[in-house]
Amino acid sequence: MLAFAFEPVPPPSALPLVAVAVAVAGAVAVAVAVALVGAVEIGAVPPAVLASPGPFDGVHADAASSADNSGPVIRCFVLQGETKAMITVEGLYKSYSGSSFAVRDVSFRVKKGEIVGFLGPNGAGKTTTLRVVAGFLGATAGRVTLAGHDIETAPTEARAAVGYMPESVPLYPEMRVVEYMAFRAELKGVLRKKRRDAVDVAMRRARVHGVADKLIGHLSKGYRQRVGLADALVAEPPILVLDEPTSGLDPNQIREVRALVRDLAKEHAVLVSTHILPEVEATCDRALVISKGVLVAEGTIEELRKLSRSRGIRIAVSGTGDVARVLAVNPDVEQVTRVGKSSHLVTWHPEIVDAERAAEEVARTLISSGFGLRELSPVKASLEQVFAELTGETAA
Amino acid sequence: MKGFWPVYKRELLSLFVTPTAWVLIIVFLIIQGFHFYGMVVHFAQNAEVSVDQGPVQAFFGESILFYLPLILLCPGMTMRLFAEERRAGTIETLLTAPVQTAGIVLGKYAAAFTMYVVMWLPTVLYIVVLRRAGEIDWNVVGTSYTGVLFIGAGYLAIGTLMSAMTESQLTAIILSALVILGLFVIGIGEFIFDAGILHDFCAYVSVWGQMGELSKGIVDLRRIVLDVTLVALPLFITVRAVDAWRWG
Repeated sequence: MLAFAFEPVPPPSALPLVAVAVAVAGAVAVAVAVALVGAVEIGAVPPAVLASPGPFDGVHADAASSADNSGPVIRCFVLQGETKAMITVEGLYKSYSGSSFAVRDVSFRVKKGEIVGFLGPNGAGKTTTLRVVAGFLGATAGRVTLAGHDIETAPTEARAAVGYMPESVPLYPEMRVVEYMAFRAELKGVLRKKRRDAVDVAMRRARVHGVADKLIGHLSKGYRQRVGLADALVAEPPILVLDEPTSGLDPNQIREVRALVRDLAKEHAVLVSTHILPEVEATCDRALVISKGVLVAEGTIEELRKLSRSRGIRIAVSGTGDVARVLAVNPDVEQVTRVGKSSHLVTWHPEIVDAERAAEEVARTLISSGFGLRELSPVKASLEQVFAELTGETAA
Repeated sequence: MKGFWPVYKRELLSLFVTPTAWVLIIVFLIIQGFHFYGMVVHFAQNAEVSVDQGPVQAFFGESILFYLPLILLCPGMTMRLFAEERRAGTIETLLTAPVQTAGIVLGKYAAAFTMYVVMWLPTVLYIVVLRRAGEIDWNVVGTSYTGVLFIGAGYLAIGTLMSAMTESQLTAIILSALVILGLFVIGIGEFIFDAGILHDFCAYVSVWGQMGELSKGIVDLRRIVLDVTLVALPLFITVRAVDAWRWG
């Protein structure tokens, strides 16, 4: 038996303990208050680089056209102010190092019910721009407004308007899908009463309700991608920002995700980035093409196609003679390439005004020169070609 | 402070569904078990003890076995808080949610602190065991545990800050253990320097001195000010650091 020689102590009184408890509570309160004050201050601090008058080139069209005079015709960007834009980006600059800019003077708008594709090669600044729009990164200069909330002055409200799916879809592997969704819903301020329904609806839309009780770490890439999509949808935001939502999926999954995105566009403004061109053709109403941090083109798929300078016609003729020399007199014809025994590819001059009229002219010239015209068909530039030209890379 | 509760709950879930919390708690309890056992044996063999040298005083802060586990285990609790989120990229989904950075930081910190409390809870049994063999001054036990909570709160705040400084959990645990060890070592200066400013400063910062006082029931406001500073300052810097990533 252990024996301790304790001195007699006064009967325990609750008072000092209470005092200690109060002290602890007070300390915590002070800590919390200090942290809060810190947060409030941060909101007001502007980025230090904001005011720096860097050597910006004012109009993004300059950068592309000055490099190559025969380059694509850049469609001037016009702000459509009449219809309410959900995403407004004006003169966005983002610099990581302070000396060079990852994104320079990017401006665009996305309206409700519209899917806008954000197109560019890897490293062009797509992810940077989307991260700024989603509120993950602060803009070095420029203004971003989401559903009417300025991301600088009302960051929480602005972020609440966006469902964002980051590129690699980072998730917590140790959580179950339904736990993760409940966590995200609560984090996004979905009220407790509505949370279960919101999670359920989002999981059904993204088709992950079948794996609700599985650990995220055990899911396949396709499912993880869709959990990310469900997360973006859960708070029913008016804006969706999806960074490469189909990367790493198999063709069936890609079709499903595209169908879902098209479906979502009915009630959302969707900004979706990709470097896969068929994706833009398949899902988007409009595309923004970014290259080396600069917006080089913007418009519908058709408008973008017209930007290609390799548009022309394919002709098949019978008879002998040099087709190229006969057509050389036509000012609209830039080049005639022989592509088969009797087929030729006629490429228009980049500054051609009316391609249809030029085609008529070519037919007339050929027939009057004694050739038999067997075929004449317009050659549509593939989006790949347009893309390669716009972003300054050689077509594959 | 939007975001506190969901982040707090998620962190607790992550701590306790992964082995992290269990490993740390078990290691801690094994060390404290040996510590308590050794102390009991010591007192059983020395029947004559003075008024301020009871087993409660001995257990709370007289031996290195009290401090060493804390210096290593507290960084272990906080290392993944931010480092893992940054490594895995989940920080991107967290920071794009409509929440305040302070909510995120405090939620994570509170989860680590909750785990710290859970880790210490079984040690109350030691006091209950002592109670069977003699009288216990519960006020002193109260002040002792207050000291335990204060020290842990400071260490965890430092760990949280270090976790926010790096993407690697290993770097985070090493950095925070070094900083905490540094703070601990400064306290030894009390015995190196003779009377003077340095001596007083070292004595003021010394956790050893602090636990010595609290385990005797002495509550010194200056020490509490220091402790609150050691909690508030790192957390404040963490909030600023997390927000600074947006401008990186």
